[in-house]
Amino acid sequence: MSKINLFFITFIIVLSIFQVIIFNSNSTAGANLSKLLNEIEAIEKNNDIINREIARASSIATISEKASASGLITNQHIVSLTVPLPLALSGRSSL
Amino acid sequence: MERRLRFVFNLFCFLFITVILRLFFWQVTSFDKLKSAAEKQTLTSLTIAAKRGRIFSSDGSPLVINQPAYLLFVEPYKLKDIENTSTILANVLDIPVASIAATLSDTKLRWVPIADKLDEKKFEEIKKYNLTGIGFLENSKRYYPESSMAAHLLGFVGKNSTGIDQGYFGLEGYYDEQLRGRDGRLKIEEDALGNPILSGKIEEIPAENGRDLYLTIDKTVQFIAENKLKEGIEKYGAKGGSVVLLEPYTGAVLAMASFPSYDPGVFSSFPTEYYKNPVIVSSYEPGSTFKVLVMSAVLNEGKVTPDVKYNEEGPIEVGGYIIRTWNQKYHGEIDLAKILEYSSNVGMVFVGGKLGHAPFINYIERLGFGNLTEVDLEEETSSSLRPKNKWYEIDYATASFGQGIAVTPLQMVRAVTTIANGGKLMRPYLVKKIRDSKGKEIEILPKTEAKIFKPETTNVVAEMMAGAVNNGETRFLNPSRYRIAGKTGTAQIPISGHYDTNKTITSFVGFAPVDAPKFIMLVTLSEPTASPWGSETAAPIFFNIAKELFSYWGISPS
Repeated sequence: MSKINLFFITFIIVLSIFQVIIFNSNSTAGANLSKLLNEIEAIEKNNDIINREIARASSIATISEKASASGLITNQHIVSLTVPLPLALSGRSSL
Repeated sequence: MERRLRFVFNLFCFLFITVILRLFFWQVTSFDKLKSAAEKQTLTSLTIAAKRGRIFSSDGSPLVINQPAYLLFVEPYKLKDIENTSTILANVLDIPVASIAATLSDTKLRWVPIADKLDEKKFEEIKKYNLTGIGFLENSKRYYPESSMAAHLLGFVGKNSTGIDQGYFGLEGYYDEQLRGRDGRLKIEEDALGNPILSGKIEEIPAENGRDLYLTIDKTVQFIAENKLKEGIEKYGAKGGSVVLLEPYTGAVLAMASFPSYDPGVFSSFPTEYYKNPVIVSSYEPGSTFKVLVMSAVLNEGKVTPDVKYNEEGPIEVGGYIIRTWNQKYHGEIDLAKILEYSSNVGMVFVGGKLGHAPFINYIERLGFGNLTEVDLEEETSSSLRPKNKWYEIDYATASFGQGIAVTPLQMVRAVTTIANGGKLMRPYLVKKIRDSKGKEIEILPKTEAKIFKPETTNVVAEMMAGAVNNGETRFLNPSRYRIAGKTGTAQIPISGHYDTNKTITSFVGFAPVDAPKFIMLVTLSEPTASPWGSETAAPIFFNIAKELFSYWGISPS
């Protein structure tokens, strides 16, 4: 038997052993993968719930309700820091 | 001996051929069938549900998002205690016991859905009983953080005839294809325990989540508009009402509110007639608010100048009909600004007459009446204009002051936007940006549909409208030192060929600040009982909203 043939036979045997080892280790990795996928799903679900709670807490309806409950009221008068022009300079009769 | 050998040889040949043929049958002829049968035993096929796109307001706040939900199903043949299970489910789901018991007792059924879109709370409540024969499938449902706010705009998600989620009305209906996304599929080889075999066959077509919509709607403006409208409807005893706010230079919708409304989260609890958005569906006669458009048309055509005088001396007769002013008061010689200020019907007949019949209809058509505005909402409708050969003298006369012509609130406010923005007719729109699940964005730009009026014309009419606010019936409502252009409208409701004298639709259309309008708003009230006039019902709501907007946007007095 030539050296080349011997090399190929050995190589095939080594690969076969590797295949068995990898398949063997992968046979339990499926369960781990399944566990990880479930965890991702649970985290995504929690994320959706938290997003919902944040959206509810920061909604304008909730803020307005809390502001009213705290005694805050809407300012009924507009306060302007600018000084109105004298009538003669405003150029408008409607003022 | 030779004969026996030949027989054995032939028998072997026959058996060999039979085996070959059988193998051919299995491996070639039945290949697909057997492969599929084998895959059924080892491969699990799953649908990866695409998440429906979310909807955000202009500041990025969520208006519609998704939340976990569950489909509750029962396998009746697995049930142990039907009576107890029925009672528990009936209590939690608020369904009659008899109805559930009848379903659960039917042992011929293998799998029956009992309730869909259950929230987390109900899911946990049922789960804690640990009932046999009961199961859940996880899905999602819409959640509205602002509750029923902007319900008419948003629409809702229901089931179509095949049981698949589908958007109906408003944005959910119009953008259903964009929001829906595309479900994915996963084929994976599994072991006896249901765990994936990593070295086995895995085929995945990933799900493509729906696209998110970013609106032009400002949620604070929407909130203010809804609150003030609701207060106004209660105060003036109206049957309903609407408010629509646009950005004059772009046509972007800032707020759109109508009452009566509904909660899209529990839409099935409300009458179906509430689902339609009155701003784009309900036609009404605009009344005096229409006068500003006729006035703009006649000035734009150069048929009259603003200082032309009209002698308002009494009722006039047109085509055998008598036309009067709304309050039976006549002011003698008045100019065009005063015609608007006094909201003179007879004055407007004079103005409409100066415009001429053909230009009159031409302007109505070019301003978009009789056609859809093509706003991005599902259910828009429009009343048709009367055929040109069916317009008689009296029709031109009454149309000049807004009677005998039907418009939707959105058509009306869009038309008046031309006066606020220098003459351009804009296409109203609600979605300014669409973002897909990979982050790619599509910007939606404002669209100018037509150039209707010259800026010189709109400047003059805007000043006339400002004068109407300052000196007309609404002068006590105008916040001091703010320049607001506006016009009241009161239209009787046509019923069976005549006008009901007791029922009106009141309105107020206006924009502010006059010199650089930040918003244009139309308020309409249906059948107010406190007063039949626009100046006493719709106008106060307009000014209440405007005052809040001045504070919110930090608009200083002129």
